[in-house]
Amino acid sequence: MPDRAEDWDPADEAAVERACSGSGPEPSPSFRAELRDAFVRGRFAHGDEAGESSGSASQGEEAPRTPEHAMIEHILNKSRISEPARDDFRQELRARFVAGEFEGTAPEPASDSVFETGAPRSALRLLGWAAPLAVAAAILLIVILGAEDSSWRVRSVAGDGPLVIGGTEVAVLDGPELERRIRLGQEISTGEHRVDLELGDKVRMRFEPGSRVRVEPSADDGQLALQLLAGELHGVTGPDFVRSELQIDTPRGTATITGTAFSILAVPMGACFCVDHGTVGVKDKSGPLHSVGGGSSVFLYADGSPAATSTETELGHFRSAESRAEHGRPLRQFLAELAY
Amino acid sequence: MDDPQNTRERASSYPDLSVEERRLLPERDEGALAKFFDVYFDRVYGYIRRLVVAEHLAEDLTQDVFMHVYRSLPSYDATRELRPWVFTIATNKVRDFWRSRRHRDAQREKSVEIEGSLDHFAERDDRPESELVQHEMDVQVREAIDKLPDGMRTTVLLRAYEGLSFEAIGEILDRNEVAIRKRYSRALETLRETLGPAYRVHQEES
Repeated sequence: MPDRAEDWDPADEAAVERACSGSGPEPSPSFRAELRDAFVRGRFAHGDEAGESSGSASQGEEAPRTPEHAMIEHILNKSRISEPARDDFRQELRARFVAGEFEGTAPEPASDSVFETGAPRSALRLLGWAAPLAVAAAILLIVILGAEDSSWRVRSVAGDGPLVIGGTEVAVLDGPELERRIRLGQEISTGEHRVDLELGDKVRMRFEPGSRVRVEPSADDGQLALQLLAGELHGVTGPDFVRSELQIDTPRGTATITGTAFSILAVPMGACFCVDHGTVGVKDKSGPLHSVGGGSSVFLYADGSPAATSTETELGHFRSAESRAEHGRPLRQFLAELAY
Repeated sequence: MDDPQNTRERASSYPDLSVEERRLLPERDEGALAKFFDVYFDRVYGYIRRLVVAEHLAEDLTQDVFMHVYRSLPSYDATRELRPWVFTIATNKVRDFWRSRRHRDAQREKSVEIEGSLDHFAERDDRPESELVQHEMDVQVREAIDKLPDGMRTTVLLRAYEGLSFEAIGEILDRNEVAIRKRYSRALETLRETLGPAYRVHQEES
């Protein structure tokens, strides 16, 4: 491909463009002749070459442009590497784009500050450590399900304000659009919404306001993954989950759940796993395996402090009084709403 | 850095909206939107398709790009070139996708599609020889590009097929210009090695 426009007349450029886009079978004869001449004489009309030869020391470190490279560029130009889009897709998207069916603007993802002050008293002293370890609060839920192919569906979305998915605002009533974006594995910022999803009769999840989550699409082998980046979720497994296994992997450990009801809270200083019934095995990378039975919980600290176990299963226990008053509801109430 | 004059003229050699047309975009003028779509759709789709391969993924991501563009238009500065902006959006969408688990799943689909493509080629042996030869070259180049690491592939597509300057590509990929030049050079060398016989045939023809 020619880099210096002054080396080629507009007609040649148009021919190259056609060849690149696949609409032209061959580059123009003049382009071919020019390149042939340059190839034979070892001089290529390439802006990069000029830049490299007269550039800085760092540019001099680059591999020298060779006739072989120029030939590769020519082959690239000549090849049709991309298949055309489907006509109906093109027409539909064009109609939507021109008619302005895409409403709203793209705000910044919602903050996860709702839970940032919700530490238990024992955890507050760790706040100094929390900021650099915020990333470690991310939770990866790997749901290993049966071999059946399935995808997440939106059960309900409730709340005010924007729901931001993949950095763009999505109309909360547009379930199919939301599901499409979930299938793309895009990050969801729930903002002021409470989002309920389900995977058939296998599991239902509720993401609380202020949560950031990435619901990974199902793989062919039935393995699914969710990332709870911040906030809070509740989950209830369904009748088809009996033979299945739910693995929860955090940067510091892995939890394994089989047929249970649970809540998870991700805050900068760690993550809390509360179990209503069933059993959760939480494996801390730097510590032992904790078997968390129904009616108990475990808090994993992001700084590697020993995990704290409790008979408290209400996530509200781990929040500040203010946050608790705003969001705290009994776990069983959530679970009753999610139950199959 | 690319010579400004060179960059300007390189940009002008690719279809784009005029400054007057660009000024209508923030108002979401239908005519300007239609022109924008017609100028960019195939290029954006083709770019994304080569990066993610699977058709349905390319469609999803292309739609996301145009949605993002539409929503961002009110704040678009018409004095800025469209092309780097559009391909930055497209690249970011693909990058988000690559970070997702779905990308790993798509890798399997990609190999299936490539096999399907070759099968399709084998079935259609009644085409003129020149077309078959060109098709074979297309498939080989496509496969060679698909084998490139993501960063190299993106750079090659933006450079060789979109004609963007190294500086613009660096801005899109958040790398400095020198790094992009090196990456492009390495990509060409990798392609030369991968294409092997096809390259030699082409060399003999030339």
